[in-house]
Amino acid sequence: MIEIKNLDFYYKRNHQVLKDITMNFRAGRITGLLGKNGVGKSTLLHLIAGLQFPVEGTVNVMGYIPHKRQLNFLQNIFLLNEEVPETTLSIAKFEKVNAVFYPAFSHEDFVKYLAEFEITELKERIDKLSFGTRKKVFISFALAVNTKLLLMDEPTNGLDIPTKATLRKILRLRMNDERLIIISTHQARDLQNILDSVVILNNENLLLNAADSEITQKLYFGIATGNESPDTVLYREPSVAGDQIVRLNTANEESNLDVELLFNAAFQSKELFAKTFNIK
Amino acid sequence: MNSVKRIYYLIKRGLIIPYAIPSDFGGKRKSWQSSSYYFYLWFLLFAFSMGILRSTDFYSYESNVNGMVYGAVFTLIWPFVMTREHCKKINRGFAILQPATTTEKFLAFAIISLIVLPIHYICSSAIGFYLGQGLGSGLFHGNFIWAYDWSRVSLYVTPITVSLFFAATSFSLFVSLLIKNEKLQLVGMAAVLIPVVLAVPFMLGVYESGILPQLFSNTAAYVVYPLVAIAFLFGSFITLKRERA
Repeated sequence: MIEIKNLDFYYKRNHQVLKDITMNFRAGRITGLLGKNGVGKSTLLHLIAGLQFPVEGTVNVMGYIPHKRQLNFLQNIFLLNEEVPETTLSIAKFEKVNAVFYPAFSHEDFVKYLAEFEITELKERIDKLSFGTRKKVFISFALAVNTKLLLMDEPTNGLDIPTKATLRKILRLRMNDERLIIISTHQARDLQNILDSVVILNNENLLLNAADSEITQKLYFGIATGNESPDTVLYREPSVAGDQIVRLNTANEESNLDVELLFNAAFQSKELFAKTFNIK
Repeated sequence: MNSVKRIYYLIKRGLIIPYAIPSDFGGKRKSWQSSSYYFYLWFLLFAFSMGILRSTDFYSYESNVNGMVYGAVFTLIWPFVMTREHCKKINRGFAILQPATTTEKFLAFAIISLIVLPIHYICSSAIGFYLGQGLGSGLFHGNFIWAYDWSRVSLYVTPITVSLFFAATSFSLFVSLLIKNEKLQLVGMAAVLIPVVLAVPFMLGVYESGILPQLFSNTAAYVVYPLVAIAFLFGSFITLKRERA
């Protein structure tokens, strides 16, 4: 669905944000875009959405060049920014003036998602709502537009714990084979168990772009037994139950992907990590 | 949804949102300040004070008072209203990613900038000016004259042409950001800033004669501002088309 080739981007010449990035995003997946603060996660989303222009290289989304912002392209993507606008409109009025632009928008879905987030009064003015509630309104709208590509920048920021769980549930239910959801976050734990693939960015470069099945095939996540060869351990972290580790999955064992451990392993053992996933 | 309907909704959205003042505009924002009436009130109060001033002898010279008054109003406020707000929205990507064609956005922006908002502001400032001058004449001359000098065409034409000018320069900024054309962006910014720089000493009474007051005169406003405005609009549209080709 998205093909990125040799992408270079900078805001100022002496401060490169993305350098020679080549990667693909496939439809039918929820992809987590992870990275430390300021590595270019939001910038990459903006390049995919057509808000920014590549300095070098190409970005191709569903056959469109994003920054040309053609009508059919714009009708099939939605970018939910980290900061949501403070508008004086009521929820109902906001829906009225914005939903008309999206052919696949569903009022029923919008109301249903709002209800899941415990928002039932559509006459409330958006600027009167708390940040978290405002965010729930915009998340509901972003999901209800039913675009093929949904880009979410730090959607869990400002949400309480039950709401994060609700969001995970809705995202899983909304998935289908034609849709791609890319979620940028630096709070890896928030997206635990819903990601089908993971992309990790590190200063200018790509550290990982792999499906969860590939990750758990190559890496094992679990509690240390003490029999592991130190050469195979990428990351170790003490916990109540014992040391949690990420190690090479040499014996083809089954384990569940732990996004936070994966993220830490990627940064702690960069060379071994790159070698394991064939990243240049 | 057809093109006309999209333009209608773009205008409807654009009309509601440009009034919202960013939270960093001046400290903490109160709820009434975020309503569209805030800017109407602002214009009304500004024109009201200008009406009072005009009823005194302070602006006794007839030369360019209307052009100056409205020039000052639009010079100082318009760039904030249009440029700042649109730039902010562009950065957020909220307006720019709205599913509509570039031409539809161009038309919607042009209709908002050149027709709808100037009419709103002119009405607000006309009411303010009427009230200010009436009250001022009573306070300073003992005779309340509640009359607006409707016969003076300049009272309507000047604000329209001046607002056209600023709308057009703001628009060139909008376009330049849309297509990331840095040269056009610089020209647009300069065009917005130059009158601001010129207006300040003029308002302080530094220039009372010479070429600079003429720049703000009614005659100049009928000719210079519309021409520059049209040039900017035309230039922006051509640039936009060329970049899109």
